[in-house]
Amino acid sequence: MSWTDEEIDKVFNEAAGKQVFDYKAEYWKEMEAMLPKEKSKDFLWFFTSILFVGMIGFMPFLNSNKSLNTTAKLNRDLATYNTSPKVETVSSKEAQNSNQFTGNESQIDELNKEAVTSNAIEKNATENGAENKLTLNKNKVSNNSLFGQSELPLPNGVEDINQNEAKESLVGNEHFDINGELETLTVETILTESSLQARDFSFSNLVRTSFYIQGIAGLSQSLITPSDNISNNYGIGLGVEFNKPRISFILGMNTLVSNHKDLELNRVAKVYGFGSETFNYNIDYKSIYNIEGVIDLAYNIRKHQLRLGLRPSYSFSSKVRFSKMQLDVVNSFKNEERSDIYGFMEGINRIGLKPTIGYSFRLNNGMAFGVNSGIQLMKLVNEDFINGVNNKLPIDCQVYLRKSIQIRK
Amino acid sequence: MKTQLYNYLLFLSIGLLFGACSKEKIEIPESNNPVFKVEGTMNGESFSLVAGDNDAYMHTMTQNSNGVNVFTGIIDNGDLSFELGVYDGYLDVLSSNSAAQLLNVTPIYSKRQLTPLANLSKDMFDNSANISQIDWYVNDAFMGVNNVEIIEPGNYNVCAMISFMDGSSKTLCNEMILGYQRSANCSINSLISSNGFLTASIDATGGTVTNVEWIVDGVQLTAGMNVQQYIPINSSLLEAIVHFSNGVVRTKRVLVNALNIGNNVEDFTEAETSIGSVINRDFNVRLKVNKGGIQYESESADNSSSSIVLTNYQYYGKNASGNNVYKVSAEIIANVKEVNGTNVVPVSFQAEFGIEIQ
Repeated sequence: MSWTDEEIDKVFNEAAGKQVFDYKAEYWKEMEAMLPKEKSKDFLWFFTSILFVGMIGFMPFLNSNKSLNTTAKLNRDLATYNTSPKVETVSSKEAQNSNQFTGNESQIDELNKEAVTSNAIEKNATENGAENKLTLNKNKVSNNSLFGQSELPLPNGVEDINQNEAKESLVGNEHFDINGELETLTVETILTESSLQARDFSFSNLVRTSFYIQGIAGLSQSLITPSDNISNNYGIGLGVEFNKPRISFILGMNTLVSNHKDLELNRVAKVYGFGSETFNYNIDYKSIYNIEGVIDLAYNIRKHQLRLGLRPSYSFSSKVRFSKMQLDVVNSFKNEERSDIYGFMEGINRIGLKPTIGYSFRLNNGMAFGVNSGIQLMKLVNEDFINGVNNKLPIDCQVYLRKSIQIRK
Repeated sequence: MKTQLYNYLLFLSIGLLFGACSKEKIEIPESNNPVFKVEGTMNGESFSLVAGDNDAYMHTMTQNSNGVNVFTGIIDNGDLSFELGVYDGYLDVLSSNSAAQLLNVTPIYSKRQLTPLANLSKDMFDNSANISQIDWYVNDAFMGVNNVEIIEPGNYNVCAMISFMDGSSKTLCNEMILGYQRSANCSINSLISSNGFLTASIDATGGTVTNVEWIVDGVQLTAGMNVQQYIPINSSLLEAIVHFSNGVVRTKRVLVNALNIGNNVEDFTEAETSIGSVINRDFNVRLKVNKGGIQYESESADNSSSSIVLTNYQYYGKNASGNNVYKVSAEIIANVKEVNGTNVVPVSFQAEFGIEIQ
């Protein structure tokens, strides 16, 4: 047997009619006392929420600029292509391109509606399963198979698309590493779907990520003073770049070997006993092995990149040339030992911190050449174990050759 | 790409782990101050010897003087050397701790003994009429026939090779402590009948006997204060190892002969007390100096008004022989006499000396 709605309603009404609630002011006072009087902690939540919302909101804004910038030329090209059945190959200069489009804002707006990021283009192309490809050579853009056309005409006003210009116009960011793929970038959708819309504003589209591996070599002022020696270092690094149109954030780690000539400790000890023994010690730090963190913020200007960064470092090992000569004059005893010892760290302070500034220039095929200069803030030498005193703020300079690797989705 | 990344991180982690964990240690000793040195004057001329400087070295060893340990240190640079020796003491106490006892004694200079401490003679035996000759050996060194004197203090193993009138010969050896304190002593009273029945007891002086081990020709008899039992009639050597309550252990030996009672030979260690030793060399100090090839010693000089004060005494370590070395700080005022001359030279110095004490 089940209750009907009417029956249930009746039961509730009867029960409610029997209950009497007496209002007493004390109840409300007690309730007021239970309420929290200060809400200082709420400010943190409020601030955090605002910050989060602000970040989320700001990212698309940045990205929209990027989208405009990065896809402008592509849009122009595409728009022109759509409206012009045939375009001859002409020489391409950026200034010319810009002039052609700055005077027609309505056309740009129209094109923007149709614009997509290169990622979206590629995505759509993949979805459509088309195999048509735009081949960007130095002097022409061709479609090898679309609609049976062996060559596509270029948009009006675009006489030539330099390969690098094409990359830039397609991805709008020098660090969107599409090197290698550029020549086979699938854009059939660009050609076939003239009404593409920028619809994907996910984080992965706002911030492009790429890994890099780099080789490093550098010179550094001596860690101690007085010294005329310059140490050198070399190593490899690995990291990841988070790229926005103008700003890049780089996190990485370098493994470095620094070679020194002046990190020595000479100590003579005369130890008395039944006679005496004279010990001549020489500890020569040949190499120091470091792990170095890379935290960089970069500003991108086309192929150029300016960097500010921090390099926290940890010295995890060393190579020490150790020699010991023991003299016992009374017994005419002489003993000499020499050996290379790894891992002797008593002369080295392990933790370092170095602010850096840098510049890099993007080459072809995802390669970049750069230079960094930094000042070591920490005293890396334990003066009890090294002859001399710490050099204050030694400067170093590194050059690197970097290969960026775009991770496909 | 992922595999490469993982490999890189793995390599990095392993490197970091090994680098961070493996810590080589290089022990660099610190310079220290000289440990052993002597500094003072000799015949008004100042000197200083520092072990470790100018070829000076602190040698430590235990020398032997007539069967007695002399705990010695010599600081020497080739041209000048000082030797400080401390005679052992309480020789008859097996559990004697020389290092500890040195702290409790007031050191004095040893003195060379000029008069005999013991006279050993054939006539000291009751059955001397049956003895034709005794050849005396002290510490395996032949000392003379029938009558010999022992002058220097020492712990001697004295052997009498006795030739009897009947043509037989026996050798009887005993330990004799001369010129040192004897904390307890005893002698054997023995009698043997022609049928081999042995009656023996200990006549103790200066201590309470707690146990006696009786041994006949190497065969252990029943332990006890005395013994009364038959032994083989051809037995010859009766040995008693006597334990005293103060830790002294003395071994006494006599010759017994059941077949010829006239050839019994009693314990001759009574000679230890026959003269009555007037000196005790226990823990005495001797000083030797070698300067420019000339040897000096304190024992030959008059040091009745000299002094030696130990200001500090501590364990230092082991020497090259693996024996314990104590560092002794002392203020020394003494006279030393030229060994091969008559020149007596006063010396006064402070010493940080190393002495081996076993």
